[in-house]
Amino acid sequence: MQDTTVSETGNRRDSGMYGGIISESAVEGMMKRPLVTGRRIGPERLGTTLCIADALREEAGLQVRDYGGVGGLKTLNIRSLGTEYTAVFVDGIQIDNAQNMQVDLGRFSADGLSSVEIYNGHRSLCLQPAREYASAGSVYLNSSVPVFRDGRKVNFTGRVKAGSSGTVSPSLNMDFRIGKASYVSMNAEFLTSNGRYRYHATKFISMPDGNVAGYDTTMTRRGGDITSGRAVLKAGGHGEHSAWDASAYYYESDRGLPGPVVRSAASLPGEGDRQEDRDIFIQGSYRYSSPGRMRPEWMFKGRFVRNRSRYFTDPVRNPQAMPMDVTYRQTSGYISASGKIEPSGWCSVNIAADAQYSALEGNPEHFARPVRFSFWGAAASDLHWDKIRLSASVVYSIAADKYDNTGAGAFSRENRTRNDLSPALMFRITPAGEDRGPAIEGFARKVFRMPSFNDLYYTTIGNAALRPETAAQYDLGLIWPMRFGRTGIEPRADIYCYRVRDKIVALPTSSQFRWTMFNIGRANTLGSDISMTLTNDALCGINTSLTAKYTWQKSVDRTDPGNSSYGGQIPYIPLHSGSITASAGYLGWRVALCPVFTGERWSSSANFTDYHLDRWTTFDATVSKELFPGHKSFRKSAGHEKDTLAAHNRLKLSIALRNLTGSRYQVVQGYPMPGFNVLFAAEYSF
Amino acid sequence: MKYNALLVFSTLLAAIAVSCSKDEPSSETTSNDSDLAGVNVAVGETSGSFKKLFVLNEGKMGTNNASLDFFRFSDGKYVRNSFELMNPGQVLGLGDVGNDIAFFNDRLWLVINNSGLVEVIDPKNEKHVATVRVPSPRRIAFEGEYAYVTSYSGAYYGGPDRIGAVYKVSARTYETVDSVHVGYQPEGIVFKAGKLYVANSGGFKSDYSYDDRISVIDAGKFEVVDEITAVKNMQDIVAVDNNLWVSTFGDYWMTPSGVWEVDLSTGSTVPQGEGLAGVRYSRCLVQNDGTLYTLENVYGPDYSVIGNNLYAIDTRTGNVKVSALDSSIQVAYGLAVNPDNGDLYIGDAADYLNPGNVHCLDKSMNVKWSAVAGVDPGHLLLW
Repeated sequence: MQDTTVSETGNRRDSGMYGGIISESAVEGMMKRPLVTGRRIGPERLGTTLCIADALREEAGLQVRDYGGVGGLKTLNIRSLGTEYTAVFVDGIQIDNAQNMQVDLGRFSADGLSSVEIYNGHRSLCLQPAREYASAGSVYLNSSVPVFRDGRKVNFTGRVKAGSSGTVSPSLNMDFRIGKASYVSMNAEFLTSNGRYRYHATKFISMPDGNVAGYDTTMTRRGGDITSGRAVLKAGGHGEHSAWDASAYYYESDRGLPGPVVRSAASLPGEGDRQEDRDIFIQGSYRYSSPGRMRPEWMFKGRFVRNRSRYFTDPVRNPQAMPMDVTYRQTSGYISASGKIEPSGWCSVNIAADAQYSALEGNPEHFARPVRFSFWGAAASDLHWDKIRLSASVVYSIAADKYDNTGAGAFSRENRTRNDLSPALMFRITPAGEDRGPAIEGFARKVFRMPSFNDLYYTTIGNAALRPETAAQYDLGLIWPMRFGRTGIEPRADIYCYRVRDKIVALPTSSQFRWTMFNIGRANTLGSDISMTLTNDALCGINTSLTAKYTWQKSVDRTDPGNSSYGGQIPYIPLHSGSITASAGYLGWRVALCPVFTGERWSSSANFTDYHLDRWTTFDATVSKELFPGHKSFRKSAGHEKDTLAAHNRLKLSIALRNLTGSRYQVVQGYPMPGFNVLFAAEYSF
Repeated sequence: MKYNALLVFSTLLAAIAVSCSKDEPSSETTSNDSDLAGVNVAVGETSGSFKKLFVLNEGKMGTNNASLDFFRFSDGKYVRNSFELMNPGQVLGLGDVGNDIAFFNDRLWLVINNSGLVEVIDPKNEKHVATVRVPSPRRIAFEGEYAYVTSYSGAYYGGPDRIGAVYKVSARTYETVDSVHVGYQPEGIVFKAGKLYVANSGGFKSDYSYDDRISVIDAGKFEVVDEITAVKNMQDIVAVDNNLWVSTFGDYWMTPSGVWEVDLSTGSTVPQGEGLAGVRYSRCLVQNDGTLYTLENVYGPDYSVIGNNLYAIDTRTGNVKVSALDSSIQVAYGLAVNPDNGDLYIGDAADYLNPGNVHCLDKSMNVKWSAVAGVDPGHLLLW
């Protein structure tokens, strides 16, 4: 897709004001562009996928860890850092999973999103909450901007997606304009899938007699069904110098956990493990910019969350299952206040303070019932001249925990406090001016992650003595957008070096029954992300774009020179990976082909053949057609996103053919991925 | 390549196993495992009364990488992964988590815990003979023409815990013929004088209360006829002379791990002497000529080694000898003793995730030879 890279125009495309209504994205648009350029996935791509994880796997420098199927866990690693480092923001406020710090991207529908932005490091705006400065890698999910044209007061969009594995997902979106400058949006979505798909169990080995022998069997993945529902109520508006938004979100799901594929005795049902989730959050933000001296701006954000997760087995149906029925409830509240002034034309200063309360309750025996109070304080300064922008920031984070000590001795409520400092320096040099020619960008940062509640207090496994895990990040990049007539070329290259220290790893202690977390891991990553985008606006009226992305990452374990894993590539990080996206649009038709390549990997940092995972390539193809029944300028507007986005009576049909060649692959050892599968989508809006 | 249907697997997954060879349709494998290339690890080993040392590697749970290795005394070679090499058409190999190995009735019995089966093979060439379905199997013992397998999976009638069971398997037809309920999470099982004794651990009881009972099963009637209250969280159970010996993990909290003697005449534990009270148990309880051997490996909160020892308990005198293991052994995880010469074979799990090692130690604890094994070489058997 031609809009997968964030550029100045890319960012503004959906952030302008349509029909006098401003939204969250528009608020972001009021700010200066982020200093270090991120990457952006636009609505074209998001419209043809069920969940955002499918779109993210095409991006450079990211690894989506996909356990397969619609309901399978999908987490994201940015540049080989652990999933715990990836901060996911919904409309500018970070999602928080205090229990294990992993965000399941499978839960975020692509529906109702206008874009997804990815930053290696933090987003680096002039005004942002303190906590954002501390993210090691960030993913922003920006919901759609309501667009009211020609004095309309109501928008309606209905979508149906359906495809393989019995997947059906209808959704509905309605926007209402309230007065001149505010709106209310309602969005509801339902998803069901039986999660069944066929896969191959294949293994061939060399025999002593020189022959090759083995097996190649077709099996059906079962027990990965999912049913989920989501409802979002959102409102926003703006005044002359202010903007606000508020939303309420409800998510409920019930899914099977099929577990890894292992040999199983005949007629032994492996199904029965299930997970139920219920998430509720409300959040809001308010922003005020004063036109006065030094142009002060203020921003306030808040969020309240209640999550409930239940994991249970079915010991009646599955004779192998141990009875288990545990429920965890997380409650958290977050507030943030930040302010910016511009003492002179080339300098702005941001001061921000955030606070969060998180509590985890659970019904397992001896549960530690941890509570964490966190505070982030940040100071940042952004200096900008004609050709150089510099940003320096520092965040102080402190997390104070209370928990039940269930270790040897006695039960008691205990306290423990951890703190750390994250400094960051970022720059952007544009020798030919901000909007033209090459840009050289880079950053040097130190980030850390607090140990999660599971790391610290999980019954019999947690180690309350853990320190934060730290990572140093160095990055240098070049972006050079060029334009030759109607052809645009945008090469981009980054090299980076990340060093992780005090890495939290699980190791067994007295027996294999007793694992404990320790701060002993070390890992170094040297990598490079290279991408090139070619766009052509008018070759016989056809818009074409071609994006090639390639990532090289040497990410090695540096924990213990005496161990067989020392010096090995860390688990699931390919040395080579890449993707190509080619698309063409003509009169409302759009065709896209996207091969994604992942090189060989290992499931352990001891890179033995036993842990080797084969390289794989998948080909996805998407065909879509936009129709504008009754629209006069149908022919003219086709292919011009800005106009078509706002057109009345818009019908969009698409079909995504995924894994066309039926590639047999596993992203995670033991979790085979689906072969060829299909997703149809129909969207009607008026 | 020609694909050749070899066997049809009627599993829930409707699996069809296919064997493949490069040239001829059926060169599935050689009939003799002497062709298997091994690594020459020991020179001058003599066979004595044993042909092979079998090593069942547990593998890491969920990764389906249980494997069977053997050391061949005749040529001093260590052969890895012999089950897969001799049975390449077996879909998904040996399975997930090898938990016990035993020899009976000319067959080798491999208990594969998370695959819910007992794999019966020919010890001469590691060829598949039969697969017996037993849910969550743990350990195996034999008597008459039956195998008895402890299992975490008895019938479930609700509540937070599932009662354990012992499954009775015919060694002639390789079919489960009966089962009887015992305590919670039964582990070790031993036959002595017409009775089967089952050590119940309760290691996964939801309220951490553990189980401290030995279930006594009359082998003829196959009914639980008695219970002996012993210690919490028992693992191994061994019959020596007229008594039983059990090992326990303790409760990881206040009660330490250790080894206890159970007097069968009184039906109670024998108070520990000074020597026995100092024994700490992590893995294995193996008998050789009235002496019990057990392994300790314990790490502290900073991952420093606290204990890495072998204990030798003389059951007749009560004397206990502690020997520090060679520092090249990281996590002593599997143990066998050669009755011919007193050599010790120790499976080293190393970091539990990657291939471990098997070390042969002579009587004075010097390493004679070492070989790279599979993941978590926990169960060793001389044959």
